[in-house]
Amino acid sequence: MEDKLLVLKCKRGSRDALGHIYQKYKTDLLILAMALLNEKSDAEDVVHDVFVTFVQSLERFRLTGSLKAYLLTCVANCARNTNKAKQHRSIEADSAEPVTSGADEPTHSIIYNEQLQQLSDAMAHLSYEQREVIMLHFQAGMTFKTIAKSLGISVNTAKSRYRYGIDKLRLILNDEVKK
Amino acid sequence: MKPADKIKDLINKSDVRTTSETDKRILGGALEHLDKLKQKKSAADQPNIWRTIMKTGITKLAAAVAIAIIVFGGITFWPHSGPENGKWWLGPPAVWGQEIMAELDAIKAVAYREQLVHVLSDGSERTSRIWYIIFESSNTHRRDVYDKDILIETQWYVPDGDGMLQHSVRFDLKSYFTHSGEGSFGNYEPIERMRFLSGFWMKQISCWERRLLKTVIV
Repeated sequence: MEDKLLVLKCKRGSRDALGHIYQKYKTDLLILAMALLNEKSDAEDVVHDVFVTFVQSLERFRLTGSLKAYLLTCVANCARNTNKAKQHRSIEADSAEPVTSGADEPTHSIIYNEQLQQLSDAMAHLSYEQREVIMLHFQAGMTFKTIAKSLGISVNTAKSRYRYGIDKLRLILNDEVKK
Repeated sequence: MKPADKIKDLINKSDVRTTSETDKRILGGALEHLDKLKQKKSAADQPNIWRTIMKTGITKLAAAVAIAIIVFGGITFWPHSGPENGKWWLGPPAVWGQEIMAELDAIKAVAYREQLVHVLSDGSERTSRIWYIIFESSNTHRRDVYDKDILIETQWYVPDGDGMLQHSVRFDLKSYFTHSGEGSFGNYEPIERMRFLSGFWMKQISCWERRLLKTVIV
């Protein structure tokens, strides 16, 4: 109910309501973006883009389920595009001459704890599709049916991505324990 | 621990902190778009109100007339046009509405009374129980709210930095509150509000092709 009210206030142009939504869900959204992209500047950009798109679509937006799940799905979709763009850029960069930059890396002020670092590192070993299904299942609490619908894949595909991802994580996490 | 449980555990224990600068950077773009949306919406509000009112059942049966008595400098303003008997409101609204708006261009402060009288198709009247006396200048706005003859509330805005603060005293509830942001007066500048009201009612009456059943001065 509270989320519906906040969305309604946003539709009327309330900056406070938008700020409230952001404060309420920013941690979940940034954790998901970090786990999917393993890069804090990209995670920030994705959450930024998700909120811009959310506002742009406010006029026709109708909240029918959980706002958190909706925003997390948006983050997953946006992160997928970012991932594709990154892959494209890295192919181009591989074929180009190496560039030595004197500029400092931009400073980002997201601070995350050790657990998120571990999560992000473990997820980096999986394919993007596997990460997506695992995170949406665990973090957003989405069923495989819902995940399949939102990603435009079959339920069996969603389940197999999850299963292969978990198998891979078992090896990674066991290796970490042995170390 | 199973890998699935381990991942769940890591997710539950994961945490991200952001500084206010990061928040501004992430949310800034969305807030800009929200402001644009708000501007667009308020620009489109006038025809929307009009359409909403015309769609309601009561407007099909009744004419609603709001008469504002405008007083400034101790002189009551009446439009000059209208029938000889002085009932200017029975004259063409396009004329007296324009006169009111032209006067509004020249003034800096107004005080007026706002009350709604619905005249139903059977000739019966419904005078609103709640009415207002409004005092407006370029940077202040005060509204006294009456319930019949009893003053129940005084609301006023005062400038506060770049924005406005709204204060309200409810005499009937013995309460007082103050807050920043939008209040019940809406987003209009004081003079703009008067201009809007005059234009709005003029348009409304014109659109009824002067099928005005009765007019009541309040």
